[in-house]
Amino acid sequence: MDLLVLVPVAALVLVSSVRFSGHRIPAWPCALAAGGVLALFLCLRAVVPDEQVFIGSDAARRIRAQVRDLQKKPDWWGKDILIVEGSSVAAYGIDNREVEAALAARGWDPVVLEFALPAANHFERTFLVEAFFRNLPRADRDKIRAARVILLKEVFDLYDRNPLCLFDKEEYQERAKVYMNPSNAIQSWKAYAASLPQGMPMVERASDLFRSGILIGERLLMNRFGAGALSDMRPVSWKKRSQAFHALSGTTPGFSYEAAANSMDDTSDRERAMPWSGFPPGWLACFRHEKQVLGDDVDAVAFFAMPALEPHRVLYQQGFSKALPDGTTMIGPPTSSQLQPFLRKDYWFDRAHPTGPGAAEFSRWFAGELLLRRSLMQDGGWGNFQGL
Amino acid sequence: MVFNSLIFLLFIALLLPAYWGLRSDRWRHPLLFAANFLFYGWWDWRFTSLLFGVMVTTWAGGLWIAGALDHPRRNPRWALFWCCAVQLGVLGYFKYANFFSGSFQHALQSVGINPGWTTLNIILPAGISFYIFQAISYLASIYQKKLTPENNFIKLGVYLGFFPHLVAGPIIRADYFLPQLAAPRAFDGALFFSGCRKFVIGLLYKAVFADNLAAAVNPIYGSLAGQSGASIFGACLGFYGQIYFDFAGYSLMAIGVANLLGYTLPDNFSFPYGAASLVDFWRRWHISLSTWLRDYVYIPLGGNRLGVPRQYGNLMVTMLLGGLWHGANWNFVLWGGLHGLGLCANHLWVATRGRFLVGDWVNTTAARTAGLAASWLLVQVFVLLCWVPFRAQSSADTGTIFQGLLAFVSGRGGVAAGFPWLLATLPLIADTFLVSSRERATSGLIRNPVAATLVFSVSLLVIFLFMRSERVPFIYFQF
Repeated sequence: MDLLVLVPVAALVLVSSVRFSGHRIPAWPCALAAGGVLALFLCLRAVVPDEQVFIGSDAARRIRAQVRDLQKKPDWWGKDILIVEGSSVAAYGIDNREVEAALAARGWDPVVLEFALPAANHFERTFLVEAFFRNLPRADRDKIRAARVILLKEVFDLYDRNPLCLFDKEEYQERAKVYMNPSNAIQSWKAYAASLPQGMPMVERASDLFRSGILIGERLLMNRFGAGALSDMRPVSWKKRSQAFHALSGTTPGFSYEAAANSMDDTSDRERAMPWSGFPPGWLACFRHEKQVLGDDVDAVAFFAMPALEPHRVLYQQGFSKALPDGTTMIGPPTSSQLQPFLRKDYWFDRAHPTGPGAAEFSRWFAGELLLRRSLMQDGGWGNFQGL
Repeated sequence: MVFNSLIFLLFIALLLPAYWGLRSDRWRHPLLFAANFLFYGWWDWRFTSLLFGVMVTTWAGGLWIAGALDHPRRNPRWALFWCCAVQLGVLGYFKYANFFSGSFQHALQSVGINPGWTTLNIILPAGISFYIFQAISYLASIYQKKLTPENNFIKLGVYLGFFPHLVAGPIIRADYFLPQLAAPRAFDGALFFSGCRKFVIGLLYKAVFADNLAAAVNPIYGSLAGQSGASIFGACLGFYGQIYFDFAGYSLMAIGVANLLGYTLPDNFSFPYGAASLVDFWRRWHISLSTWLRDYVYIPLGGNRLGVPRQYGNLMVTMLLGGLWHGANWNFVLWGGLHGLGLCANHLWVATRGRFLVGDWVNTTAARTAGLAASWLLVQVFVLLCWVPFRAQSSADTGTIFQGLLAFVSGRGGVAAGFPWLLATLPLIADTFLVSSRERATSGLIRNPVAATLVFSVSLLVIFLFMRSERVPFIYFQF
């Protein structure tokens, strides 16, 4: 029942009872009253973690689901913990249960947790993982510190080049209020500033930074004031479940598999690709931030690139892979011959996302690649990235 | 820029101290003039030239009409006609060109003629219907000698583009607002607090009630196929509340912001869902439009002075135009026509009820109470049903909704799983019966300014927690 509607209704009746007939307002007492209420609220808000304020959000549900998944596994503390973080490519392309099963069948029995949401930028991904560790009971947190935790980061040029990628779309702006706490707001604005091209005219740069500053500032205010936290008017529920894995079906409008598959041999798409010129500055800023946030909880870092029918993206991923420091693992992008088994019409929703049957195949390929690089991956600690 | 956004809060937080910090209106008016353009241009700067153009033509038109009035050989009626034609031409082009060319094309195609042109795709500038109507009000006031023409272009610009009501009203008359611009403004604590109160109530209406209702209503209206009768009834009831809270909320915020700047604007809503007759409903709903239509369409057509049939005809014309004002769509015309018919029926009943209601029982308290309750229910059900074509995307959707409603009242409605019934009913009941009584109350009020500040602050925090944080556009922005 949407019983909480009684609260704003009571506020409405209360406000409608206000009348003031004087001509002078006692400025200081009024300012103190307003400031006091504001300060009290912000102090209370500061002690409640973001994912608990926005308890019905996609992010909070994903975090709770992963905590439950971990706790359900018998003897999980003796196993390796693989944390997959990414955007829609990982969310629709990797079924963590399928990966776990494929690995277990081949003799490695790690726990695979997935922190991927469609259009999740690097800050949101980092927030999900950070909040996951925060939400573990104290005993479990001590146990996970003793286990080997490997972070697997998705490589996708769209998000790597632009730290605020898709931020101009309303549905993602709305979601950003969950993770846009003061620290993330400052870091994401800095990362965005770093990602702007060097030769950009000053006026354009200033207007771009102002616009993104306004967007970030708005989400920050929403975050601090818990905007919309109770908008469904229902008492807070900790038990809302989230789907473990959501598979896509059919194809996106306008997508032609044949045209996409043919483009893999077409050189014009490759020519359009930006030449590799080192790690994008925006990605570097995000990576440094993640290193700072997750440095104590994650033991090793590796990267992955999922199969895609977009040659220019694959070129970026290949460049990324080559530029990684020695001793760092990157799974994919698949070579032409590795891609062959995936070239089936029923596997592709669009050029970057698989359908349900495609995801099952992708997950098994992913598991196979993980197994091949197991020992190298286990050793790839943050220390590898000292120079970045 | 919209009132429920950070950028507006920043804008007003910077504007208010700057505005009240200036020593006289000599500087405040140019500041407001600039603020109007900044506010309007934030949405799309290209349309500021349209607003400026309307200001220039209205200013020049006012001087022309006044000149014609003073000159015995010139015809001021023609001057008014041409000035209004220019304004209505602008409105017609931006608002109705798509509609009429599309309808004409459709009519030709239906008789087998392919006209071979494509429909124009003209963007509707926000608030054009509101500022054009205000321009006409200014020109008509000069013609009627209620006002002298404003020589100061900045002042006229402040009136036409006054940002609190620029994009969604209330429509203010020139003879209501221009005298306020002539009188010096001094900070008034009571008006300032009244502004805060109205802004907070308006924000509650819009951000909490209207937007949360929209989240429940839009998915049902968006895919009507397969919806149960109960869901369709829920969507109709939800929209009945949504449109009121959305528009009344915007109007209250506009009036509140104007109060913060030291100006008053006329009320636009007065608890319309408490009305027990359709005539009374139109005295309480979108008051600034209904009085505008009354004074500039209904009365010039002859009003009720030319006999009953002509009165009903005038009512129908006025309401059909009122429907068309809302948008270039046959659904709005149907909505206006239905209300016109309802008003005629209301007048007919008032004129003839003495023949039916005879006997002493008519004057008993029980009969009066029951009659009032029945009238209220009848009027509100009629209003709710009239919102169906107003909200539906097409006439086919309107038919589907009525079928669903029929199924609901005949007991075959099924269930509406997850529909927020309390949200769709409690705020309306509280507003219509509790808040309206608080408006008239003289006791039990919070008069202490510090306590009032506490109430405002806590209410704002409640709004933040319960608001729909994704942006839901104001319904009346499209008009």
